[in-house]
Amino acid sequence: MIKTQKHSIAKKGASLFLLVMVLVTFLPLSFIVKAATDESIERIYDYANTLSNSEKEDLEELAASYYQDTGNNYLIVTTTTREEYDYSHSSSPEEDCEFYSEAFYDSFLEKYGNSYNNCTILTIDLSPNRYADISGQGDLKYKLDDSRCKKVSVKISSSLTAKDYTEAYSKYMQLVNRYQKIKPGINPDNIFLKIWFQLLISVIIGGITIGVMIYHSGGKMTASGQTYLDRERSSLVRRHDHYIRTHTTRTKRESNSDSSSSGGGGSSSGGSHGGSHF
Amino acid sequence: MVIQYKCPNCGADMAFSAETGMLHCESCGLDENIEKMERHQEQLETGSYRDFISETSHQTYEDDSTAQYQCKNCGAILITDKDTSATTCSFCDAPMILGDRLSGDLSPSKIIPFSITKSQAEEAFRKWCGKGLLLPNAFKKSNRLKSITGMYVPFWLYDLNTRGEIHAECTKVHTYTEGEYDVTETKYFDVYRDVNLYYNKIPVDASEKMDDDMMDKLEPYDYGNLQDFSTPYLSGYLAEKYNYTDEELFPRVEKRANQYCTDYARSTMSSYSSVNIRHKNIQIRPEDVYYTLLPVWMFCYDYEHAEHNFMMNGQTGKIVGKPPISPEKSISLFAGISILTFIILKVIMFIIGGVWV
Ligand SMILES: [Zn+2]
Ligand SMILES: [Zn+2]
Repeated sequence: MIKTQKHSIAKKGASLFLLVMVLVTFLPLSFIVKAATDESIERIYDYANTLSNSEKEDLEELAASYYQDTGNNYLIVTTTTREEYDYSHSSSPEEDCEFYSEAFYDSFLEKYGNSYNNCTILTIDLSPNRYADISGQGDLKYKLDDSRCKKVSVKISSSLTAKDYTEAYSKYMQLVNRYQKIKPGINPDNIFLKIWFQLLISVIIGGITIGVMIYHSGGKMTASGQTYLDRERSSLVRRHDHYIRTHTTRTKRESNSDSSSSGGGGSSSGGSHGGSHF
Repeated sequence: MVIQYKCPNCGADMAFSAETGMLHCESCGLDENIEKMERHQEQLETGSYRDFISETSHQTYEDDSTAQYQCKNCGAILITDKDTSATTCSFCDAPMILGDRLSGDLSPSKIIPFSITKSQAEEAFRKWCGKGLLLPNAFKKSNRLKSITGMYVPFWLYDLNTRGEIHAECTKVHTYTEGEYDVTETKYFDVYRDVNLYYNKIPVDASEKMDDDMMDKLEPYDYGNLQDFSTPYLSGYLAEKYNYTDEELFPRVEKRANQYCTDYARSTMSSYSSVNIRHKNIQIRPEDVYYTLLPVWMFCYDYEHAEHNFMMNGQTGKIVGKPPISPEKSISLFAGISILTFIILKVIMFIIGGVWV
């Protein structure tokens, strides 16, 4: 009788623990309700034919559902020639890619109107340059600054190298969607923002607390040297504190230019940009 | 020889009362001041004390492990443990003090009398159990207190002079920024301290049976009530004689004094960022030592086929012991604290990051 009662208490404790962990972990997802989309907005412009028709449809649907949740348009444009849109050419192909992306954005706004201005654009340049540029426009220019754009482009580059385009594109949308929620100026990859790390810290703190409680359950030592010291007779007879030497180390501070949310480096483009080769 | 205190009024047995600090007669309520009694006994000693002892009791048999004493109240022969110096007759409950184990080399010089009565001790222990977050409920509820015994435990109290010379390498670290650079400046110092410290009455328990660790945790005692030893204080309580001499236990107090001395020297180096002791030379010299009996309440519990012992400082009420730990409660508390930490962490990250991640 007593045994079974104990077990049920332990089980209750364990299941409560699990329930709360699951709730807290997945609560944010619960209000993302995927609504049926009857949008007629095209968000994938696959000029380089990296996707099959059905893959493209799936991604359109994914982008539309993100739009439903956030009001942001996660756009993708692929090109082999960078000739679909007009822009003034520069000396470097990377910069050209940024200009191309800006030109694409302008045409997108022209087509759907300024109410669709909150965009991120993944520009895949499949010319021999093989460059992926990610750009934030409108509000997302600040929420997805240069450093975050760069981070996303680095994270999808292995999928792009492996020519796994659907994987790369859906990962891109998932990442920009995560990053744009986090306050600007904070490293979205900060370890404290990782659930496994938060769980680990919680469990360690819980463990240490219980450990200390068990260790001290039998009472602790409260008498010290101070308890028995005869202050009147005791004294510090002699002392010296001789300075010997100084050791100095200099480390260069990390530049904080990464966290700025200004426009693309050196270019005259309007949005934030970050990209990498694949 | 057995010393038993008879009430001068009614002839009943008298016992020491922790409440009044006097000898008390249960049957007629008479309280007798112990300091006055002591004078009375000294008179006896100068007169016919020997006759008094031989008249009232006699020791019949003794070997290494046990000895037999005869209760002069009921006449029963009592077999006692070899270390016992005070007990109660197991037949008539009369307090018995075994005088031959409290005389000569075995004569204590100081005592702190009990100031917590048996009922106060029980009450305090019950309260302490109530506060134990990890104690099994079954342990709290069931009244399995097998015994509660008040015992005077033999201690040596050492007065020490400690002379310590300590050489240390200490650093002061200063960090600042200089243009593009973070600069860490570490200054090294050669530090020397010569301390001359006196410690009064550091206690070390001299009983074989008592767990040293638990005895150390019972400290501190309040020496304000440290009295010259007098046998009536033992009446009604258990008492033991020492198993180890002050010389045999000196290494234990030496180790403590060594640590105390190092702590003291270190406390004078608190302005440094780091202290690395290179060399120390500590000389410890005993100045005086007192054979002292200190009051301890012992609680013996039966729980799940194991005995759990607790000790209470009979003067201050501090409790130590090895309580049983409830695994269920530990797990629930662990889960509770972890969940709470997790939620707090989430909230903090929400405030900083602006998102539930
Ligand atoms: Zn009486
Ligand atoms: Zn008796």
